[in-house]
Amino acid sequence: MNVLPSPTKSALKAPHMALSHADLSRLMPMHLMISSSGAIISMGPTVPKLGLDGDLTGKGFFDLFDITRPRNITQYQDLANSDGGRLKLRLRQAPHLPMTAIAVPNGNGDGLLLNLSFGFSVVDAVQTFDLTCGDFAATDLTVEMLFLLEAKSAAQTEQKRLNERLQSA
Amino acid sequence: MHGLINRSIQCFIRDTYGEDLWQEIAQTAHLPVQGFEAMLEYDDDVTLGMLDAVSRRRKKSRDAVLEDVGTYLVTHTNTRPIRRLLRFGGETFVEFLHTLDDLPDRVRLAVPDLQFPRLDTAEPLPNQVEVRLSGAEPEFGFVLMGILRALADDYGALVFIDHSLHPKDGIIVSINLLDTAFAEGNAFSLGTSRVKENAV
Repeated sequence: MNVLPSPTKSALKAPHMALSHADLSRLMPMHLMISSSGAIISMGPTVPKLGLDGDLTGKGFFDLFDITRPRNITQYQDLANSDGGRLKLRLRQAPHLPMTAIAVPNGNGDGLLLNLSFGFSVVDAVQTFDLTCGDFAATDLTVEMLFLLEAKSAAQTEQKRLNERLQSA
Repeated sequence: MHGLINRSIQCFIRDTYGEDLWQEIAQTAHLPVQGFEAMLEYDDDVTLGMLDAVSRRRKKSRDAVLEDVGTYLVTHTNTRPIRRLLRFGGETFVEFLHTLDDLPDRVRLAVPDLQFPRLDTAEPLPNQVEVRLSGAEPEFGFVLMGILRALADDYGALVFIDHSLHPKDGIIVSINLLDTAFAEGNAFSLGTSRVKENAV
């Protein structure tokens, strides 16, 4: 058996890696890259489907989104200085669909990478924006969750019918 | 047999051949005239008796009746929820076939006490998928064949599906993909989740 040379400690350190836009989009179809001026540089393929017409590149992130938590994040610096925890935000044109996001520095020190997702609003969101399986990452359990919800509601309907029959018996 | 299966066959008879034939079959095969309860368990003989009665009355082999039941589950308006749950399996028919191994798990999520045979898929040749059913009643293979044929149609794929019984391996359903984008296919959207069930 071949024994691999034991790697030095420095080789085991998580590498600082660069990902292509295409790979990033496969991992996070709902990501956004924003510049230090708050302008959108690029985005995953699902983002334009969220009722956002036209080319989003160059548009201001805060013109499209409204961060509701933590409070008082209204411009790029606020976001860059925040604690990096979970963000609650809304699309300005679909405020009834709250979203969750996380923002991390883009690695060059001149912008942020945000990964967006729907929380409990996902059921309404897929309906509103007509999203499909391919709009979510392969590892995302959203589709499984939707399946479960639908299966549950079908079973519940059957249960209700049985109860009604028992009631009238 | 799980009541859901009996109820599906009952609805198949009623929706395909009419209420009168269901009443007639219920009487000749001594079935509950008001119909089956989806949440109860019934003796296997009840199910087989019902299938034989349809087969005699419609002069069709039992296998053909079973395949029709499979087709009914995917295509009829009263079974829309089932078609939708199946379509969650993949965006294309090929993708659906690749997730077929997961189907028993999906079914278990929906109906925890429904006995569903294990499905093992293999690809012996390009554009060919073989599904092996372990520990399944032979009847199940025909229902699966009906489901797959109807689903292929729903996805707009042109396929050739065959069913064989091997002494060692059991039931094998083999699917030959002739054209995966043969027709437009029916629309499926994750979002139309307001499940409209009529009288399933």
